Amino acid sequence: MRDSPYNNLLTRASRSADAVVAAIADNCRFDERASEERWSAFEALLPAQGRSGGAIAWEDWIEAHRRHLDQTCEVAPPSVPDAFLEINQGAWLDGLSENQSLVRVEDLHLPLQSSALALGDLAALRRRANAGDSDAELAVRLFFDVWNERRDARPTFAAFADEVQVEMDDDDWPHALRDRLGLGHYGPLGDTARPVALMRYPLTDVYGAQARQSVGNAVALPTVLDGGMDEFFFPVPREHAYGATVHLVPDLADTLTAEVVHCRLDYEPRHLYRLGEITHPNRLSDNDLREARDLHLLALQVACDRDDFGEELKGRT
Amino acid sequence: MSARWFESFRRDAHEAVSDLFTGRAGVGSDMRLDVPELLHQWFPPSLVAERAHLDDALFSWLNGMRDGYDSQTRRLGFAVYGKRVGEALVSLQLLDLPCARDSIRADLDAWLRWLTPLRLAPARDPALECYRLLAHGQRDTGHLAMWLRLAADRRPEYLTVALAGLRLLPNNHDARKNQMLMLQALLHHAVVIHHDANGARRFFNRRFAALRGLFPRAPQHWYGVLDEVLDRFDHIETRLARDLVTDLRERRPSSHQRRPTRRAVTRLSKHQPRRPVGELEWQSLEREITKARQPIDGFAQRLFDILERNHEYALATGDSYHFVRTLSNLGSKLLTPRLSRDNMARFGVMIERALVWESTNPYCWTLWAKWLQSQGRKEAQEAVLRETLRLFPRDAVAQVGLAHLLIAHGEDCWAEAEHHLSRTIAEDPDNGHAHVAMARLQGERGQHDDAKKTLACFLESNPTNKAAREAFNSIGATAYADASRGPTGPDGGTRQQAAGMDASRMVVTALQELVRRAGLSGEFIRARIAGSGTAETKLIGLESQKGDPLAGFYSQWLKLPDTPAFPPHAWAWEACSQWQRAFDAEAWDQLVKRFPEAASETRLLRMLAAPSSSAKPVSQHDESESALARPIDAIMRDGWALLAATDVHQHDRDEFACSLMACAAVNPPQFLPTKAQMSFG
Repeated sequence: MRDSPYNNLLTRASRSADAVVAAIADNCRFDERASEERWSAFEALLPAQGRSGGAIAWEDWIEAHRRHLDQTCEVAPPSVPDAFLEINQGAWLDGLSENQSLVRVEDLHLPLQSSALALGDLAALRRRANAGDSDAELAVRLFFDVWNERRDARPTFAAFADEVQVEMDDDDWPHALRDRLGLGHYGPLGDTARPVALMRYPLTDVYGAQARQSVGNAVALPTVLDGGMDEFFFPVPREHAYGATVHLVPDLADTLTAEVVHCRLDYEPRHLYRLGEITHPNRLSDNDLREARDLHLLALQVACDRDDFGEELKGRT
Repeated sequence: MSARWFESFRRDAHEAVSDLFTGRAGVGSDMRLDVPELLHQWFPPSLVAERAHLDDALFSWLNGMRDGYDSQTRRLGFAVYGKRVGEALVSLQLLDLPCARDSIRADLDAWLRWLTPLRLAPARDPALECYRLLAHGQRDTGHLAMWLRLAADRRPEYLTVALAGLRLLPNNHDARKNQMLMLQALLHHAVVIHHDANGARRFFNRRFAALRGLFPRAPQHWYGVLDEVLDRFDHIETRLARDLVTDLRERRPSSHQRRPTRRAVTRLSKHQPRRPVGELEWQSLEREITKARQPIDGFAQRLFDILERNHEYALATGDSYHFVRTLSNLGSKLLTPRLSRDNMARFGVMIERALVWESTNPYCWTLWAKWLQSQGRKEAQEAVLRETLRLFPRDAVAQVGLAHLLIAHGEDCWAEAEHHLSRTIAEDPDNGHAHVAMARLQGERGQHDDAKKTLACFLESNPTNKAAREAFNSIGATAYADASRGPTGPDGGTRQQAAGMDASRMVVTALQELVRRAGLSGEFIRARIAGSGTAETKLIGLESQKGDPLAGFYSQWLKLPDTPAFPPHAWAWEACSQWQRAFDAEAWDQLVKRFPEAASETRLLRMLAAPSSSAKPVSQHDESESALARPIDAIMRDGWALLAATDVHQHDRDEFACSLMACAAVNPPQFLPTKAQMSFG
């Protein structure tokens, strides 16, 4: 744990009976990738005092996190998020073989709404386009243009296609991938299914996008300050080569799947691999979450030979 | 669902919503979702009562952000402030919450004034999110003119939203109307963003194909729709538009060149709107009005019949050309106090309709001022004239009309009246009305000899000018004041106060805004006349603190000491600050990039600001009588002329720059029609 005047606050929060609060506090305590400069920028957003005039509270921490995300992460292009600026140079990821592809599950609800289309409409247009209907092809391209116009430049979390090929090929790929990639926030939209797209694109496209945007670096290791203050994110020891997703099926939580963040990429129709729907939420209860995180931690400790990394949730008071 | 947040929402929806945006809600992994998606997930349609509370709470939160503009932008910075406001608007879209949407729709102009300067990028544009919100839940065609105007914006994302708005217009089971309107919007956009017919055609064809992809119909159907739209587009008198129409007709695939079959023609004709009344017919009415002396109510009835039919055509096709041209050509001839009360009321409705379609047309504005004058509503008349002059700074009718009002206000306003009249006379030395008004002003000041001299000099070169002759003859007589009031001054006849006009919310809200703007422009002009530091600029100060782009520009131009930092997307305000600094080519280029919709204005200012410009630029402006021509286009033409001229004084450059930036600082108010205005008669 880094030396910070807020360690007491974090330690207190990590003892919370609320597993989510404890998990988020742990993420902050365990992170070894975000630079001191980035933490200082974050802490500068914390108030000198809490609302009631005393010490700052957990809510103040979370509020600062929201503002930090708004200011440095979820920025509008052509601004570049901190993850790819020099302030994060320590977490930049270079030297990757270009001949590999990334995958990502995208929520299509807002993009479809922007184009006044239903998931079925897009699927039909895509079928027609693939069958040679040039009008449908242009309509699909227009859908992507509108979608791209509305996307900001936040760091894009992605996994490597070859590592999750089994889930990609699964008939129920939306749930299989959602669970493997730790996308716990992807559930149905109330009573209706959430439309999702599986995007698959070569890493060279990301590098191309980086060159066009003059971004400092294209790929980085995810840190807690890149949107990692949630219970399904887990920092990794500095020795670990990539980020590692938390599998949402408790028994499989020791499956470490590599994840990275990369700079904004304009999607193209060829990047759309599959369309589907998420119809049910993940099954992690509060207890399951604690167990899954502990199993994931154990896997990280073993993989990096770092028994001193992190702290189990089990048995904490 | 975050049960804890939902509990707090049930206790106090407003605070819970506020906590959500600030992050205090602390909702764990849900934080990975943006607030709109989060809310959408938490509030399924089955939670009827909760959604109603959320609707109310989001609207209150937005209002709170608007009211707290100054403190919030200081605390959060513009980027975070704009992001959160945008997210609230996206939430309203995603959840399809009707009350907030309707409230915003009803007061759209004020919302857009607040939201427009907050744009950071296409993906972070609260005004665009507001338009997106309004595209949904349209109950009538009230926004039709607005969507078409939006499509003429250079920015592609604005075209996209305009097309969505047109696509979702209620159509009574006839999507052909939407298709025609969308093609019309594409044509307008094509000629705005391209300078050559080839580029415009390529752009159009690409987007046309994408539309066909969304509305799969036989080619015959689509080319029938296109033919109709091209026919209508013909009267847009720009060379590029004409070339594009010719190009699109000639380069059509040969299989689609032939005329539709008889069956297709019969089928289509059932859906076609009645043709508008053409120019020949209203010109004949114009001749009769000119010859006739009494009575005029019969003519008014005939004019209204023509206008009704042309308006019906505009509603069905989005083409307001015939409606507005008929009104602007005949309206001023018939709008006299001799009209009956009912006809006067009906006239008012026609003018309002014209403003809905073409709020950028100077004739609509001066006609409105004249109508308000006939109603004895001087404050409103002054506000309309001031706005007219902001949009069309060389409009002599408005200048003289405003001068007359200012003369009547009393001594405090005479310097400003003189300022307007001097400008008019300098630009048009043969303007009899301006000379008469100047003589009136001199008379009011007790300078009767000067007044006589002004008119005598004018009559030497314009001996047949009736108004000047009458004024000259009556100098010193009691009737002098009445004779010199000219055509736009208060009429001496009995006023026929029109009934029911105040019921129009559009007029009430637009006039309130115009009165506010008039307050700002009045302070601005008086401060410029008085020189630095001597005139009252309280209103400008207050409004600029709220981020009002017009007040901000005025404050910046006057270099008032408390001028706040400009928001991220207030072009005139920022360009003014650039204009006042030492020339920096790179900074101007940045401005061009950041404001693509004002790229040509920025380039022109840059050239004017440059210490020496060796290459004389060629104007890319084309004469246009389109409903979508902007007021600034006319000012730009003056600017190109100024650039081409030799020995231009810095004072003239400054005057031009000031007019240009004032005009661009804020759009004319959004006139949204009431049901009555869309279906009167």
